[in-house]
Amino acid sequence: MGVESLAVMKRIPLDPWLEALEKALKTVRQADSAEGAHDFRVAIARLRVWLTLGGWHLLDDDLKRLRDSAARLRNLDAQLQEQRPPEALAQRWRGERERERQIFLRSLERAPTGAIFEVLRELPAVRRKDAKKTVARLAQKALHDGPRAVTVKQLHRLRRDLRKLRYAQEWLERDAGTLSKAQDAAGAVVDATIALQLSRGDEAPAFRSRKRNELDLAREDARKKWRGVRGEIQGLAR
Amino acid sequence: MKLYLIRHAIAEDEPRDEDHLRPLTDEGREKFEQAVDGLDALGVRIDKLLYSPWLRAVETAELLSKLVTGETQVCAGLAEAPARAVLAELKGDPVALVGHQPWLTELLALLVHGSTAEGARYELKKGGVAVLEGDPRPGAMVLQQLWAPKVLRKLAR
Repeated sequence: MGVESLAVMKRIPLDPWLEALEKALKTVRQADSAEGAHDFRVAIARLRVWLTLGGWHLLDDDLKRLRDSAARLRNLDAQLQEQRPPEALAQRWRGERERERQIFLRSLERAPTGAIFEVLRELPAVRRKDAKKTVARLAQKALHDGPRAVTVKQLHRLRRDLRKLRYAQEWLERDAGTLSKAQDAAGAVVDATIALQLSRGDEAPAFRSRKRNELDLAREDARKKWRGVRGEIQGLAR
Repeated sequence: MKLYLIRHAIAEDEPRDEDHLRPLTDEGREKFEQAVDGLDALGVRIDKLLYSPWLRAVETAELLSKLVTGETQVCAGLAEAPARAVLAELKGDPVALVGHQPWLTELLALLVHGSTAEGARYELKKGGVAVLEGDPRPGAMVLQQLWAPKVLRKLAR
């Protein structure tokens, strides 16, 4: 193996997820699908973690704004797909979803997407050595937040920690299966909370009662999954 | 508002296929890190940092990011001759722009004199900073300081 090949192996290029973001951006602009906003947000979240691994601070704000612009649309998509709302509520959400989609498309027109892509294409690949150090830091953050994660807000913070750690592991081509499950469990808490925030007591009492029960169970499950993944994270923090 | 116009630090000058891909040299990075320490010593903080998408400006802006208290934003308009689109982005206080010559001093001239034509009167070295104050519209700002990078490095603690 040549010196150049070894140098390439020691670096992590962002190409796969940059291409995924370009594809997702094209999809959300051209078609209306529930997966579009999701894929768009996932690609951005993965690229933000890549920037963190490389020690970049700059583009994070630009990507965060871009990701946040699809947040409400994605919330409504997730609720409509996964939370089984009664028809009257689903109908209201579909109306809101259409308005949110238009807001999202307008914000995309204003966003400096061309310049963001230009910068991302220019950035040098991240050094694996630097990335591994950052993984340890991300693991320490999760270990700080995990034991304190009791309320919905705290569990939401833990979910973000786990997501970043999982994506960081995946950038390093390491297994992140357990982290992914723990992230999903914390995500179920957030999803049930959003279902309650987006519905009113007078329009869906049975639905809200079901979501409150699900929220209690999801909190327990998220805590359990956290305890299950804690040892693995302690290993990453060293 | 206060506006800092900052030229990118010393970059590789070897010819490349694409000018926008020229990175900072090790020397340029090191010297600008010291200049940032000088800005820090002067108490400079940045509420909004706009930067050109060209690599040498991105790397320069990254070195400045420790002075940023607000947000950062890539701005395609900083990689071309000054246009009104850039002026529309000047919200916050203070704002810093990281860009290229001759466009930065053309922007300086536009904001101070109302016309880009006067830009050639000013010299802004690589890693240098111009400080303006006033309303961010043509002819409505005053040039307060023109800091050479060497001066900023001397101020570094």
